Amino acid sequence: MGLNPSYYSQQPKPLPVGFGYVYGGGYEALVITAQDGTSTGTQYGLYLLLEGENDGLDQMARVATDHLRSPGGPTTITSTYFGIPDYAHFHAGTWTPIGINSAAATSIGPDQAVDSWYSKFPTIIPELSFSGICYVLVSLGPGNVPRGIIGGQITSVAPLAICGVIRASRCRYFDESGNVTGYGFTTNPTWHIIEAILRYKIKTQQPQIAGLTQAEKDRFNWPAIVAHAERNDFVLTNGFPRFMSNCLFASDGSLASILETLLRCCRSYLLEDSAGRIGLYGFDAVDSSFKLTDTHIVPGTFKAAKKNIAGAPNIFVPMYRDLNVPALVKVDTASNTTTGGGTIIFSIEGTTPFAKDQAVIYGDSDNPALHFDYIVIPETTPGARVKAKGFNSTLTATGGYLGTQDSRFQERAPNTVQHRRHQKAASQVAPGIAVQPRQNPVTYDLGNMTYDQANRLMKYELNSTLGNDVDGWQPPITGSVTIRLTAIDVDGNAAFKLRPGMSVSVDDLVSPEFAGEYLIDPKGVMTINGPTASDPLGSIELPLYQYNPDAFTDESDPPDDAYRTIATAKLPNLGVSLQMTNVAWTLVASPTVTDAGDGTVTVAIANLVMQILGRVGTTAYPTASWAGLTPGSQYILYVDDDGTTVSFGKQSGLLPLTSPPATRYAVLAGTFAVGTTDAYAPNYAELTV
Amino acid sequence: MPNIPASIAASMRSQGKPGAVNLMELQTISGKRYYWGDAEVSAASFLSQYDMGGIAVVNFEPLLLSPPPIKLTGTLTTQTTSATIGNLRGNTVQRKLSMDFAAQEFWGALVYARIYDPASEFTLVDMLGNVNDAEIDDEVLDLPITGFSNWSAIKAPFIKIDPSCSLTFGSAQCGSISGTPCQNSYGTCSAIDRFTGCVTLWSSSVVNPPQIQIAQPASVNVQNVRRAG
Repeated sequence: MGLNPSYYSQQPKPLPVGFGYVYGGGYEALVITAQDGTSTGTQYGLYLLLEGENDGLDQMARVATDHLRSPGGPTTITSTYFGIPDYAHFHAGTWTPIGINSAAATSIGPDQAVDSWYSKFPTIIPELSFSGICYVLVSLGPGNVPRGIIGGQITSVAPLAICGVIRASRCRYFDESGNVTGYGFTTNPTWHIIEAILRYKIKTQQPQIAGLTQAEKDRFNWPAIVAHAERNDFVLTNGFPRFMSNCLFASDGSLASILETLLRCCRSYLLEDSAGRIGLYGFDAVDSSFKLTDTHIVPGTFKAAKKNIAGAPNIFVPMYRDLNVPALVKVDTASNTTTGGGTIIFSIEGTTPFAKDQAVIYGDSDNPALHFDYIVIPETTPGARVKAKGFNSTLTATGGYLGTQDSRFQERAPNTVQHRRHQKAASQVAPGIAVQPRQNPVTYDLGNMTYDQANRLMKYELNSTLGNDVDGWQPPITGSVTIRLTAIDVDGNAAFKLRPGMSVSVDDLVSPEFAGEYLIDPKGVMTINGPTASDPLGSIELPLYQYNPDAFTDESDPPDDAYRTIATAKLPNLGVSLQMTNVAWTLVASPTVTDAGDGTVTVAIANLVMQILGRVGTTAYPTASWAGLTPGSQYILYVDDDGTTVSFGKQSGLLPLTSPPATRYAVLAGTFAVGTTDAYAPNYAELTV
Repeated sequence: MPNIPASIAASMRSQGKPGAVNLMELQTISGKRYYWGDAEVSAASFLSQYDMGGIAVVNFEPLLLSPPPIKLTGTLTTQTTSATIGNLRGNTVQRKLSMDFAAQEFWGALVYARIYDPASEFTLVDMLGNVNDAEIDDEVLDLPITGFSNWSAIKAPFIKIDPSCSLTFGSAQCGSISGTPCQNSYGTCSAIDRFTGCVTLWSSSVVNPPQIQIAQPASVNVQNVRRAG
């Protein structure tokens, strides 16, 4: 045993769930080196990543010396894991169909059948499909080279130590009536929140593509939710949506902790606005919802105070991992002048921090054609330049930055958002001693985020809790008031329709000193009392907080050099909501293959059950049958089901389905023969990793 | 734009005070329903709206001595409130509710409470929640209530990396249709395709010296109770 061992718990390990882009290596469940006749043998490792279903891998490294890189680019790499992966079998975490999984272990992902590399493990290890769990099986041998290593084979193979950039949970999208309109990877916090509530409270352990019953729909305020999603998707001048969330919830925590972080990431709150009807609302500028005057209130109940913020935090520190690549080196010019193998020379400011074989990414120059990953090659002329493997064409660029994708997801905690005036408004010390500024930081966990979004969120926290940091600063006024249950204002607005987060205008008949606009503080509790014998009029108690329209800013402070990132090196699907098509999970399928006597076989699946995207329940197809299949040939068996008419068809070859109509769903794919069927459930019209 | 119908606003203005009553519906885990109000009224039952027979109009017994205040917040803090069922007249609690209290489980019961205007058949405000305790004596039945948004009570995510399966037997995700519940183990699983356990955890530590030491967890069941003194 090594010295100074670390300690961890013997208890079961919680499997994380991720939303948006997450980064990690998963839990190492099985690792073995298979003696396959090569010089080092081939390592196989199985890593449990996340609760399913997840979308795929953007980047992956297998050993500690490997480098994260974007797909494509100018350098030649001997292995690729995009399209059909050759050394990473990614299994998305859908549900394994009952029945067909008893076929041979031949899966290479992203379906959830038993993986083909189970044959490499000892037979005492049962072949499992890890239904509902996203995992990756990785191989590493001398025959395939880690990405970032140039050319040839390596003779000694380092231990597997994987990490990757994962597109996490696929989520459902809804319309204003609560109908499912789509499904896919998204970075919109609205759909993360709804998916979390559905998975863990409303539809636990039910298919994640199912639609909602009327009773389930009625538990949500869909117009408010759709408006919230559109509000988050609004694209700002920097090209990113207003709010994104990219979070990994690794602890065995509560739904409250998941929602807390997701809501914080989008400056929002969740409100049960009527009989358990959940709505999502942003902390945004609002119009007044009620004009409060003296005839509405219970006499003597309006109380105003200056909130005691003597000990309040005044430095707002966002803790996050940066989704963007830090700009490490400023480039003056880039010149790819050598054809036929290509070498690119980056003239930089200062000396190079990059070592040989380091993967670097270039961006933000005046020539996007050069914005790719490169591999640093040995430098024979030391100086202010970086030499890397380049294109087979002549290209030049001016300006820009170099960074490494390995430094993406860097831990950040900038303390740039500070309330200077509050710091100086500290308590007096003693006669003759100057006031000592008091700095009191508070940190917020924001998951994976951009500097811009984190900065805007912290500015909101500062302005909303302490008020604007300007000359003549005054702490915000807080208060409370009790109004009559049946009060109706001059515009016909009823008091009982008020909710936390709405704004109330207090006129000078209520309080000449404190008249103005107030929020019904969402962080407080609003209490509604029905009429009783002791209070026959009924009442509503409102917690009030001075309304500050400046708190809801979409403008961030520009980052200084320490937090500068390469804008063009953004993750490809950051800020978008992907849309899967022809989504249907095959839940139960035990195919029976019979010889038709004419050289073909017929496949029947009497117990076929599928879940089609957006449908409330599963659909059974007891008459499912496909005839005329050539034994041993590849087929995709599908069903056409528009909700009224059902028919079965087949397509030769591998995925994708060719120009499928919207109501065509893949049932099984593979080869079908009497006694030797080898098929799996694709669930989608396309193969995606 | 006014946030309520003009007819409702006119009705409320003309009365000068609410004609509203407090109503509460309760459905126990076993499915038995109770309808209580602070006045004897007939109204459409909220809890019946998804019943096969459609929405039922029911009579609310005048037993709601203290209606639950309805609390709204934008935080994720669980809101608690309470209601008291008592004898507005007669001795119904003693006669009837005590027997039900003995036979029924009130804990976990679904509660729907509302402030309701019978004249316009309009609900002003309402709430959904669960009974999280119940106490009764000869006079009153006290029902502490937890709001619908009880997020902190829900464990998530719930799948564990462990030889045992994390799923609930018979759930849609489990998929088993066996009549015999499993023990969440690989050997007793009747829907092995959906098994979520990881039976053999064989990491690189079996071929390399482990750099970690497993720490014993605190005992769950303490048999050797420490004696005072």
